[in-house]
Amino acid sequence: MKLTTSHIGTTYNAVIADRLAFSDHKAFRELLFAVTESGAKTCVFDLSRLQSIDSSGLGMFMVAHEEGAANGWDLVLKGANGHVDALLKLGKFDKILTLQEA
Amino acid sequence: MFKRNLKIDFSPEEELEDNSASEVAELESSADRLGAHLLREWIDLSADQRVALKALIWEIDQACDLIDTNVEGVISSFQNISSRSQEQADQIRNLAVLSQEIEIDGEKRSVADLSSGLKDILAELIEKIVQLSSRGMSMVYKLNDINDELAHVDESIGQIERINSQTNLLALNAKIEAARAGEAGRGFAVVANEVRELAKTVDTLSTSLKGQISSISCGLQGAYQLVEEIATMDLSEQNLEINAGFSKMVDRLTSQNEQVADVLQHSATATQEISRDISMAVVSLQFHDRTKQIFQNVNVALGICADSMDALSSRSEDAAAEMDEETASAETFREQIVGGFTLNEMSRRFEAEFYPNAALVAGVHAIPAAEDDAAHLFNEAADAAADETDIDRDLDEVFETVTPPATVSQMAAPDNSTSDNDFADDDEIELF
Repeated sequence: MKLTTSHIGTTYNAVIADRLAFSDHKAFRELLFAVTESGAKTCVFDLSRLQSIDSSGLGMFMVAHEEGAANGWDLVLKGANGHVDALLKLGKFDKILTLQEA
Repeated sequence: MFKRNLKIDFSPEEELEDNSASEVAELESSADRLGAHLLREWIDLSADQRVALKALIWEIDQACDLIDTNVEGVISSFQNISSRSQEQADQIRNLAVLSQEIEIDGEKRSVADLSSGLKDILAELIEKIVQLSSRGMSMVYKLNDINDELAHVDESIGQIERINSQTNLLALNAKIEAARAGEAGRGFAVVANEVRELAKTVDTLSTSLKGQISSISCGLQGAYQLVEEIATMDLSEQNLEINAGFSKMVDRLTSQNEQVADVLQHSATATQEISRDISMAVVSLQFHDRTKQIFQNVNVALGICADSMDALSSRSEDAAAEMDEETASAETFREQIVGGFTLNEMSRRFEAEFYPNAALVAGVHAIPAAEDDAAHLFNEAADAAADETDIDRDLDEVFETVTPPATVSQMAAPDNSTSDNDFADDDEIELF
């Protein structure tokens, strides 16, 4: 996982690029703590440059959603394409959080 | 012969001018002879015509029988084809229905339902996978937290050990101070020993606590690895992709199945149309009933013709007997009738009718000749008739006929084939 973050106003932006897998869980958890600490109301994960994801990656998005719900912020997944987009739709993420086109 | 007489008797006018009695008598006898000659010729001709009429009636009956037998065969064949194609249409329709349905536990379900059901199951499965995976990740984070807490506990134990070591030192100092105080410090020395014992016990306790914490840490590490396996092995990216591909496969299968059902439906409709066309053809074939009736009526009329000819002929026979005059035969009529047929077997039967003697020599019964023998018998009849042909030639010369009729041997060229195809044969066409 290659991570780039920025915090503008009430929105926390995180560009997650390359590949999201189990080995990224520590960095991902730190990202979640950072979002909560920033006091942002919305967190946008930009997935436009994310090439692949495994089930643990999808699980991490679910954990992020729960973490946000527990700490007062909403999660938005933006710009997913190809394989990642297909998996998000198959997993019916659109039912529990916001999926945004690029 | 009589034509010549005709000319001689009527042309010389100067002889008529001579009004002598002998010449008148001669003229009268000449007129009588002419009348007798004509009558005889008519009787012969009418005899042949009767024979020909009867033979024609027989031929028409034959044709009626042929039509009856064959058309009925054709109709029943067509009816069979019609019912078979009807069965086929039903079967194809059944097949079309079957291709759309699958029976599961006695319950009929359409393939389209099944595939959408499968898709639902698949989507549900993936949802569950994501759910499980997210629980797995939560568990990993909890395990991390416990691990962090254990590190804190480990640190606390370290502090306890440090405190304990200071307590031990303090107890040692207290014992030294008690020894220096002498008798007065003896009681204090006992307390200092007890404190040292306590410090030793705490030390043992903290050592065992460290061991337990380390084994807990090891257990957590094992659990952590297990959760990692759950999250990444069974629920890997590849498996999910295969599942997505499966969904596409089901879609394709459903659409193909619909195409198959479509084709089968078309086929059933086409077969139905064929069946209807055949039924209509069978109705069209009913013409043979009408044809048969027409032929039967024609036969009745022909029968009447033959009978009236019989009656007239017998009266004429009486008159001719009085005149007692020999005449030429009406070979021309026979030859025209026989030569007029384009069907070989008919020519043969009529020849046998007209020349019964020749046929009897060969053992032929005029009309109902057996088919197998027909060709052979015909040859015999033709040979026998050849003699008469010579007489025909003589007659022809006498009558100076403009168009000489074909001789019997020419008309009925020997042909082994007895089928109706004779007419189509090139040789036959040339001959006629």
